[in-house]
Amino acid sequence: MNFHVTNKVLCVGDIRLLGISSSSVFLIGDTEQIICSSIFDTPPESIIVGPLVPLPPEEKEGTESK
Amino acid sequence: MSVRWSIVRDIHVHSIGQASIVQIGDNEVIEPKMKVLAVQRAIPYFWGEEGNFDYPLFEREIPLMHKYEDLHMSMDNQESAIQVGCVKVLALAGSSVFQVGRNEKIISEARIKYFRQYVTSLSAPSKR
Repeated sequence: MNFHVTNKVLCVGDIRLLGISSSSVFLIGDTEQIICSSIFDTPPESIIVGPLVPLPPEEKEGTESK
Repeated sequence: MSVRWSIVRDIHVHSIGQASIVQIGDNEVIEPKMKVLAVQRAIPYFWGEEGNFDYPLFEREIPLMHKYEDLHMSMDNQESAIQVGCVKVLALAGSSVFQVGRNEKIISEARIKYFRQYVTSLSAPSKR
């Protein structure tokens, strides 16, 4: 497929942005390829109801948990 | 193909988060990656070394769209510059990009696991 773009005058006044969220792009310019991916996981299993206990730490020697 | 300039008169960025990038100028590839383990607790007490990235979402492959056919893209820039006045950004969150200029490729990736912890029985916080 042949895809031709003609860029004419591009003149913008002011830009006010409140937030650029995770894995997103705000670009003033040209590009060829943008790939943005994001995984956000907060399933029911991630709700912990119970006593105040820490999350299991990284398994390293000397930091064996429980 | 002539390269376009980006002319911005004024930039104001208040804060940027983890693995985010503010780039002024041209480059080839920006590839920010972020892994976050977030914990929100009813009682805000946190141990220093808790938490690990041993969850499948930090390892799983992210599916990408495939190219179904060859694409030939050509650009004709009639004006030599993109002109912008004042840019005000309050915040950039994790693994995001704000660029003024030209690039070839941006590959950004964010993986966030978010825990919420409600405390029912109150015992004194102990070191495991």
